[in-house]
Amino acid sequence: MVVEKIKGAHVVAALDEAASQAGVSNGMTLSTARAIHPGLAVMEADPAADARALETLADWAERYTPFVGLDGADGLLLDVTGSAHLFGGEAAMLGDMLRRLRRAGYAASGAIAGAVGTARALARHGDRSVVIPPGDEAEAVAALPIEALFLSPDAVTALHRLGLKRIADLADRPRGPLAARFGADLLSRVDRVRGLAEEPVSPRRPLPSCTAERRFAEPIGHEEDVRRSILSLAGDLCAVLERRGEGARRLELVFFRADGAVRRIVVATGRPLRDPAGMARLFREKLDALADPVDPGFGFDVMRLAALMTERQDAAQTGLDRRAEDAEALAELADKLAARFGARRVQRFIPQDTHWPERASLAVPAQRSGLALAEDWSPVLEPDEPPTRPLRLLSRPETIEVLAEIPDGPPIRFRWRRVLHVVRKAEGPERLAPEWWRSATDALTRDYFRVEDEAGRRFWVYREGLWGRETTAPRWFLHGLFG
Amino acid sequence: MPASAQPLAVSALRERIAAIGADGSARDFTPSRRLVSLGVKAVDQALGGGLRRGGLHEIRSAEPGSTAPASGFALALAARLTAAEGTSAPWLWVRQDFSGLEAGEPYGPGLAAFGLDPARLVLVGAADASDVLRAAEEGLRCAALGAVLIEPWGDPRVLDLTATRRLVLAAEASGVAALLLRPGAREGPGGSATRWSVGPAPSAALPARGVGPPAFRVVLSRSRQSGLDASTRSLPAPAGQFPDAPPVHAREGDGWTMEWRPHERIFADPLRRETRHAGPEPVRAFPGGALAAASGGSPAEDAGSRGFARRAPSDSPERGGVRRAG
Repeated sequence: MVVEKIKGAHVVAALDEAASQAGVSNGMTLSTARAIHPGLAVMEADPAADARALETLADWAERYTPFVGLDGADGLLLDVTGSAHLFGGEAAMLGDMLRRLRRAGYAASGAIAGAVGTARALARHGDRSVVIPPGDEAEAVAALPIEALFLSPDAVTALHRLGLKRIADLADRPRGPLAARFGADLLSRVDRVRGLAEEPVSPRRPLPSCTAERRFAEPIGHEEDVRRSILSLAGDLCAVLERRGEGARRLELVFFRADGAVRRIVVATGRPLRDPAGMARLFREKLDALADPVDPGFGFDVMRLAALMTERQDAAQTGLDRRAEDAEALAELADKLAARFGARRVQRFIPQDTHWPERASLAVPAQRSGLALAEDWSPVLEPDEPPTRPLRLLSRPETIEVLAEIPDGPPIRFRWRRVLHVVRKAEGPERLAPEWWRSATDALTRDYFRVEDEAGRRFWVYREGLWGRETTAPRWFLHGLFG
Repeated sequence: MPASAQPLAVSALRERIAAIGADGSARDFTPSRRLVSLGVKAVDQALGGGLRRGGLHEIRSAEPGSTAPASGFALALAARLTAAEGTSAPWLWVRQDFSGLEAGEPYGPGLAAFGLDPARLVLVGAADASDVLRAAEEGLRCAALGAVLIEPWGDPRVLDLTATRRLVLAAEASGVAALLLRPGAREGPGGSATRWSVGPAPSAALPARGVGPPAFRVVLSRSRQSGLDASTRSLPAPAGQFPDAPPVHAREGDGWTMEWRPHERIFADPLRRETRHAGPEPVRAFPGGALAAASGGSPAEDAGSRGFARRAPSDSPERGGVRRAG
């Protein structure tokens, strides 16, 4: 028996079969319950743990259908349209579900019906396990108590006082007076329970655009079997995608373990993908790179591959175009690397229209930008002009001690990372003003110099602040290194 | 000619004979065996014709602490290798995070100004050296790439003979050049086709104290492709022992000073600056010897000069004249 604290008193929140047979019921205070039966085993309610357990169950339930929604704090709502035949019919499916739940130690009841309201009312207040054929919803709920409408306790009491105890009692009444007395909400609840009105429900996760799944009579656990299954799942999925003229951008592979544990692996691709071998490769990379490997335990009995996100992709053409082939190969490489190392670690440069050095080039995830090979880095090469920008930029400019002429001469010598460099050649200043139109910029003007020391090392250094106007003591920084 | 020249020439010949198949057809055109001229005759000769694609080339800094020249040289090689196809091929740069913190992150505009195409770069940041190697191997298997620049930091234990061998095999199979940049490295395993040790070199003087084009002091301490090895006593200079001044130019053994021409994407010998316009400007006919430095005169392909030729009209002769005078 579980109790929770409501307004300072311990109140029974949940109880098992034995306790309810002893005469204890929900809503009793703990002292009353103890008076009825002193030997009650009592536990404190832990709603957070309950919620976690329900989430785990919801994950597990996805083996039956991808559409799983939560119903209150202790119910699951599954849309089994189109998947019941995989289990030999709705009754068999429900039976399998409840059997597994009970084996795992849960007290469970369930119902399958054509309307959400009907199924919910029957599961919570009807038989343990029931399947209602289409069209029989109203009849099936007629005998249920009005509690199955999930009204407020006050409304239930008021209805009881009028002698209305079952749903059939309400359904037979003229609607006008009922609506006037209890509000339109009551009538809509009645309609929903009787299957006359639809009720919107939403799944916990966005529904995949298409899926392929394999159920194994004997749970599989060998790496080789798993790989082969992934490949054949990918083949199925690609056939569906091909028919739709789409390619997958985000794929999810779900492993359902025989003991109920569920593991999801998601990979993203840089371009629409419709190649089974390619999909299998991506998952192999990802599975190999997992810090916490997928543990088959006693084996997986269901595997599902779902395309979470798809994009239009026209029929593949085998081109003679070398560029297109290169782009394709490169996109595949980026996908593979991203699957293994994470999308943020595989990057490309995008030129930015700004003169401010830190912002002039932006590294973005290679997958996101696609791998079109025609970005414009136009003001590149003046013939015979030495590079004016360094090959490598320090992520934070480093302070250097500089001897330089005032106000704006180039450095004569400077010390960086404890090494003294005597400047032999210098070019500059290249004056870069901060971008005032960007908010919160208190940056100072920078005078950049390209300098070369006596050994031939080349650096990009700048003086921050205009002497006399912006600051009285300009500071110097080393920002980049030339080849 | 130093005594080393003869075994060099012999081994270059052996190489070429080995490249001829049993049916008499030359296999030189398979990508992995193709040699790319670097543009400096002496260096190409020491390499036995040029730098081989589909091989592992190791670049380390001649002096500890300053890795910028080595990284510049490695990027120049990458530019040379990706450019040699005619159009620029995509390339991959895998670097360890620590290297980025220590030596600076790759900078798009700088790469563009150096003759590399940042739009064709895929950049991978790896947390540790084993990830670097894994990503590099993946990249080397992708034949669409022109080059893979591999940059682990220091002397990681995972970078052993087996690891380099794996990289070599992957590079040979796909014909993609592997450039192993070793910032912060002290020692290293063998296995690479060439090993370079690179230090800074003063740039050529420009008018008004300006900084000139990138230049490097380069020692080739091993070249398997031409049979040259530091152990054969033909190369007396270990890394970092340059005479302070004056630098020795284009002489085997002591290394060379190589100037990088970003615009043409080719190296040049700064002592022979006058050869710069030999290729693209047929009007200014230079003696054959000078011309050879730019065009290689070897089985190497010479796409770099072709690339230059396309852009030649924009290069005004007056300006070139001023530079040469300076």
